[in-house]
Amino acid sequence: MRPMSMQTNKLIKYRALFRISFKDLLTWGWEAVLSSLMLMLYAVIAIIVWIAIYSFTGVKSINGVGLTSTIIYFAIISALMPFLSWSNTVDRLSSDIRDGDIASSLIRPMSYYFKIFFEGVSGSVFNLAVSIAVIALVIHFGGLTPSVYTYAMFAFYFIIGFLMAELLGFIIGSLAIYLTDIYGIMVSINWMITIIGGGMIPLVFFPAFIEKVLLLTPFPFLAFVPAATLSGVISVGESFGLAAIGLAWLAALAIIAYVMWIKLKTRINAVGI
Amino acid sequence: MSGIEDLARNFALYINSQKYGFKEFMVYRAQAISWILIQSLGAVSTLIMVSVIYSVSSGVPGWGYFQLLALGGLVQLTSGMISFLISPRTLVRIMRNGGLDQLLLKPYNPALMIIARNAGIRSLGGAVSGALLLAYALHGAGVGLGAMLIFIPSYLIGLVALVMGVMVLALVSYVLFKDASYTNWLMNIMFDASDYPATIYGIIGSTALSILLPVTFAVFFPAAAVFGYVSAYVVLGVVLVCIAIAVMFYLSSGYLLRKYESGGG
Repeated sequence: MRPMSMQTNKLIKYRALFRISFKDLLTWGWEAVLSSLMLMLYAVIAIIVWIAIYSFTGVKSINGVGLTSTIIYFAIISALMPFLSWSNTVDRLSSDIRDGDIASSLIRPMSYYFKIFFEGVSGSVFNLAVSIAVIALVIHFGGLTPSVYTYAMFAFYFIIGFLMAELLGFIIGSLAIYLTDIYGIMVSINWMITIIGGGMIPLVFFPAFIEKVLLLTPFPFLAFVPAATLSGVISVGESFGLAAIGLAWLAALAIIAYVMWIKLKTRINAVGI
Repeated sequence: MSGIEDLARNFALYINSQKYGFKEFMVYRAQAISWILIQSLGAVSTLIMVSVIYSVSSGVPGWGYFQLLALGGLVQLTSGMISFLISPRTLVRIMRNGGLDQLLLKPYNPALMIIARNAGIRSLGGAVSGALLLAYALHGAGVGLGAMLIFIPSYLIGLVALVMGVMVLALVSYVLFKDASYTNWLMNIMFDASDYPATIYGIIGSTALSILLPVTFAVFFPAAAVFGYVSAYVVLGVVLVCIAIAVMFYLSSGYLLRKYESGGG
């Protein structure tokens, strides 16, 4: 078989997996919409809290960020949260490891990682539609006029964030081979995204030194960096400066995920754990 | 059998089941310790959030740093206690698999049996860290013994009403959907919202936080009482409402338990 047709064959398989998962998701369409809305509620709480704080403090801006920018920032966060949800990958991988289904998946003529990636992407595509709709509303009603560069940087961080979330999900899911319960790690990572990733507090509200340190971690790329770029909380120039850190973390997470996968393969068994 | 004897028998069952649960939890010691640490992250996040808010602003209307910290600590304590006492998702999963069949046949109080069976020992880490944060904040705010004498009973009665409310919500979820994943999620969102005074959410938000589940009765009002934001009459009114809610929910739980389908389904 020629290499080209092999590639085409693989793509057809993954496309089929994606289509099946997407149809499955649409069967429970209302549940998916409800999940997105629930995830958005966290940002709504943050918006109400910060409106109360700005009103009570009576200032036009906090650390250079006005109330309108803060509201827009959290509205964008609310749009990002459903899209950057990584728990599907964790659930799929950890349950496959526990039940031993991963062993039968490995003998199939396709990469296991791409299998769960494409199955998970179906949910992300659904959430992407919700995210784009919310972001479009935020841009329209928030009176935002982002430049082409802002859009480009936002799209870049949107993709980086999505890939990071998928890799984090894969790494955490892989830990199911060592731990009897990975729920605690999921809780910790969610906490990190919420607090030190900018999910509840824009990082510019932290003292400057702490903000700089936090921006060296991967978590702000899942919430703060894309939302702050589009809302104008950070300038395009500052945002551009963070690209190298984002790419470095993406590469690091990819390497960690790969190493975990190699180690995982040597411990997998068909009866589960 | 007298009422007192019956109460003592049920209480002994509860204590024994908790002892068993704790020993079972401690079998995997490293995991147990990591769980306790992970559960305490909620209190740490409250501390960070409140500290950042007060470092860049005057804070939330009418509430000082230690006062908001105390409210956050109380929410962590309550959320940990609720997770320890009853988890709607676990309860509905047990019911869907017919897990109450044997439980309801035993000569003990059905509601107590459910609570004893559902004990989430690992959530105690959240409750303990919340209690520590609360103690630190109350000390920092200079709360006196007199205020504590109002706070403790009003909080405990509010907590009972909340536990019964969560149980009823779980049973309603079982009857309507046979699933309570979203109930757990909604409960967590309500706790997150309760980290801040209910007054900032306006009348609609405060009502939702009181009616859907009586979270404000267990958290906001006792905290407001200890800092003197509500009068003694309001505290008394809240206590009476909580007693009424708890009784109503207790009776409702008995009615809803009759909808349980034996053998699962």
